[in-house]
Amino acid sequence: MKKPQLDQGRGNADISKDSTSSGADKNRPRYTGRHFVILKEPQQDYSKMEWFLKNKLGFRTACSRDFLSETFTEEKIKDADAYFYEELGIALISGSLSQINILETETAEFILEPERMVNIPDDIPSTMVIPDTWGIEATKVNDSPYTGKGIKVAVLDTGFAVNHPDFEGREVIAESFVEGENADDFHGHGTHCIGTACGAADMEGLRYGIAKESIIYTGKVLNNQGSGAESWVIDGITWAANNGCKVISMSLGSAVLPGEGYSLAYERTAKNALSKGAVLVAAAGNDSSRSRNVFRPVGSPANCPSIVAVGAVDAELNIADFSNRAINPDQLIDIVAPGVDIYSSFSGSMRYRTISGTSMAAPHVAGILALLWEKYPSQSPNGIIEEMQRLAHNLKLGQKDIGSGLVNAPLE
Amino acid sequence: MKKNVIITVAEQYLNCLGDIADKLRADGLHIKRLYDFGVVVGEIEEKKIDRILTHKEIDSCSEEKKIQLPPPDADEQ
Repeated sequence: MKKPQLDQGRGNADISKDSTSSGADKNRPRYTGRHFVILKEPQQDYSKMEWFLKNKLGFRTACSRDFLSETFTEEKIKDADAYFYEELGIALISGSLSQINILETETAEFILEPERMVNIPDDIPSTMVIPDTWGIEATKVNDSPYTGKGIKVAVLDTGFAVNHPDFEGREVIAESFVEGENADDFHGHGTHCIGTACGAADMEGLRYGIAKESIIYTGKVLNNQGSGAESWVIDGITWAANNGCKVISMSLGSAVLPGEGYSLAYERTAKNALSKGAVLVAAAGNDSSRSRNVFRPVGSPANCPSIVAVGAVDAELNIADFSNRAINPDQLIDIVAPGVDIYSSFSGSMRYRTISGTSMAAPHVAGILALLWEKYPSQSPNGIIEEMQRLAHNLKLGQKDIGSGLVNAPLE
Repeated sequence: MKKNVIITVAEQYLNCLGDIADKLRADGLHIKRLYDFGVVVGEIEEKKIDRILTHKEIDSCSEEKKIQLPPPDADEQ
């Protein structure tokens, strides 16, 4: 049987018509150039077809009955123009275009079909090549050799789902400042924030956490309904600082009015923690609605001078619609971090959720601060904050919205 | 009606926190926490709050703020 001549025959014209094919498929021949001649009625005697091919078209033929006791291969019929599958009432032919035209016009008893190429499907991208979350990518965390190893990171929130499978084997110290509730997280917010700041990867290998070798201090200062009081937060900050935490992350706060000052009690508490070696981070708040031209001031406690206030950006590195602005005097946005569509761990059977808010931005900064502490263990808290701001990527947006810019992980 | 208040003691008086606590108790404050960095958390009748600010050692006294997160199923947190 003559070898297929790819892309010949009438099937050729169909290649560009296949709108369902991928780009790669479109460059791949769909037909061999050979044709099947099929009897319209399977019970018909194929000898008439054989006669026609031999005598009218001058084909050299071979037949399946010749291979009853041996395996059929293309090599064995390489000189034939037509091969008959006797039991099927089908012949495979490799005629010229003019011979095919004769067959089409003169044989009402046969159906002519081009032989199709059979391909191995395109490779599907391997699940072993798993990307990180966009927040991990945007902040260059995966380019950093630091993991926050041994750094104590406190997250003051709704507690933590300590039995989450992604945190198996991690050192976790838990304390509740909520009367009548233990440190377990029945809200989910705290587990999400700890996932970003201190987690590693999910069960599929997708990395969503930053300081993956840090020591987790979870201080429950918001109850299972997500409510809390200023004094519980003060208790939590003091507990974390007294326990040697180098980072204290707070994705919480109260709205602040234009013209309102910061809380002296929070500031005094933060200064005390700073003096004990901790850097404090808080979410700037989600009270704005920029698309409706509504801008709100940085919330409390993020508006304190001794606390790093974190705004949120989206995956296009635009300021998030809800992210608050530096409106009141000296109550600044210090830095921004990913805070829109952030995937992280969650409590309960869900295990993971993708949510938005400056609450999601603050733990990105907290995790990166842990990496900085690992790199510069002898630095002062203010020295670490300065380095964080120096590394930030300037997004060419207004300083009252982004402060120093997008937080970046330290490299070598 | 009783209110929770957060009080900040001026930094120059941190060395006499015990005496200040006594004055606050005399004003009717039930002290829940007394931090050595000058923050006092307590409970007092609403009508007596103004008395606390009359002491020169006190920088601030405000009703304790509440914090409320959105419900767990909210997309924005």
